[in-house]
Amino acid sequence: MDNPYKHQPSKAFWRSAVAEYSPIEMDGVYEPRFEITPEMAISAAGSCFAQHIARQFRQRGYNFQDFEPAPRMIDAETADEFGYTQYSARYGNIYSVRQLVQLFERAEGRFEPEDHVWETGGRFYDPFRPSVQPGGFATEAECLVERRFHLEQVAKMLKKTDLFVFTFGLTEAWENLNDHAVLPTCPGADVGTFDPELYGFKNFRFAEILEDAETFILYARERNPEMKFLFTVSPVPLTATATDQHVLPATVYSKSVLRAVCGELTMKYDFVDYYPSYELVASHPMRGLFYRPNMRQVALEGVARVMDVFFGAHAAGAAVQCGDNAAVSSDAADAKRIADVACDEEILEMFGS
Amino acid sequence: MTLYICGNSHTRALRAGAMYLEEHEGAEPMVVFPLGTADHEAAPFSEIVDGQVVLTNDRFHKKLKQFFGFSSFEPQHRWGICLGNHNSRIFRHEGWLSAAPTWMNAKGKTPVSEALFQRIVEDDQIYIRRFLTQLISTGVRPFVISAPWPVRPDPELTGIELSHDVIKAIDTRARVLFSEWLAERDIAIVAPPVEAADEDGFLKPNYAKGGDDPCHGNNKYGRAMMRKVLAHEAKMAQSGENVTRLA
Repeated sequence: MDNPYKHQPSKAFWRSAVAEYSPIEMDGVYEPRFEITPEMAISAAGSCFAQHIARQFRQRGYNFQDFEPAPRMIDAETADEFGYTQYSARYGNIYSVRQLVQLFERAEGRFEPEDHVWETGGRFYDPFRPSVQPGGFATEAECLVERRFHLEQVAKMLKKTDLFVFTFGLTEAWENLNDHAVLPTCPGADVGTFDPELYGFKNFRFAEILEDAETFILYARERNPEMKFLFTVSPVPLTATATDQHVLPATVYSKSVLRAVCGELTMKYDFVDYYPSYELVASHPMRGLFYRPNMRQVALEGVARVMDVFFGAHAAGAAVQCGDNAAVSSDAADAKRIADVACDEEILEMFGS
Repeated sequence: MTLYICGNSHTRALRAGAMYLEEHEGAEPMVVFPLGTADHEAAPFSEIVDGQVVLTNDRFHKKLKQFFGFSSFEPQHRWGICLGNHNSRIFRHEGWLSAAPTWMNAKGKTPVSEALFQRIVEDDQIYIRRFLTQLISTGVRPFVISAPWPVRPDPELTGIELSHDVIKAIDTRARVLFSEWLAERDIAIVAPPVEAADEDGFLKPNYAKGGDDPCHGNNKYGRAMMRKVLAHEAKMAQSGENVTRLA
């Protein structure tokens, strides 16, 4: 008797696709919905894991867009330290879609958050990208000059982007209770001052994130009707949860909701693709092999695996002239730099006992 | 105590000035020679060996021996070091065509914050600062003789199309940062003579070498600068400050 499963390929069955393979042998996990060509103008944003993706697009010779390049008189290490070259503009990590939507609203002058500039220790910080300027800005005026320039560059982005890559990071966030501006970090954790009257915890739910993502997609395609989207979920667990849960179920909630949103978007829109970074690192068949001993940071080998599978699945990625920088470097110092990314969330670790 | 002055190519003007002052104004004999060009500052050029600073750059090392008779810097000698504030190396970078210091609030240009600018200056001066730190750690009490005010660039000659405002902003701030760094280490710096600067802070043409030379002072500048150096030394002698102190 016939049934639909008889016609499924081997990749659809656990025994043939997972059980018989080691984590590094597993094949066919990702089949692109659309080809990403070297000509496509690619912009990227997201949580800290997204820095790896952005870096690889650059290094592998794709047309990765940088609307806020570093001043040319500084070296690569200084550029990275000052938040340049991590993404398509110097916005730092963007952990939630709400934060992403608000970034573009701010860039177009449609939203001016109440959180203007934070002063901490005599230095001044942009609340929406506190980590891009190590040690903060010297004056409030300097912070504002830099922010104005930054937003001007962000405003140019979507019209010139063919593919927008976003890495979903967290459902947990902190927002200003007055205007609901979402901040990348909890005020007071590193910079800024926490005021419970002013800031509130937000654990985004499925429907909210889906709505935000669709708002962003609509907004972006108003500016470029042909834009495609590549979404992925960061495999990096929470450093800490602000819920009353244990950090493990809090993490699984977060990642599950984000994964479900990506699934929903992929099913709904044929111009949206999902790349299973999360599954390739965090799912149980991977046995946690691709994490560092703290089971949180992704090891160099994990980054390499995720990137190799992605680029190997795109014909252009395999064919693009990569040079010595394309794959993960074997040089120890360079390798560490590649594995390490600037992660605002890690500051929370110091508050644990 | 004999005054020894060495440094980069800006020392040539100082040497001409020193020779003039010795011959015409009764200045005490000094030993003033350049060791090399500013290009040599872009790589490590010194280290401490057996408790004294030696120059590891071959040319520097050779010239120190040839002109001064020394293989190292010893604490009992009085040294003027003409290194630092050669800021044309910073502002000549073509990156400044699309960037500007934030305090200029230049629209459309990538802003360079104070902290980032400080890093740029630190990177430019890293080996000079290392050398000076080595000197004071080995008991030498140097003072620094600044490079001249920047020469107003002629784009046809220099290829620099940067606005004079930006050049001046970069040079001024870089000088302040270097002076602050020196002050933290109790190292005096003799600034270029005020009379050699025009109203915008550039080196007056009659103090500049001119022709196709983009940055050096001429003999007149050298004389004016050496008068300042000697005045500084006289003041230090009065206060006992130029007595060598062991680290």
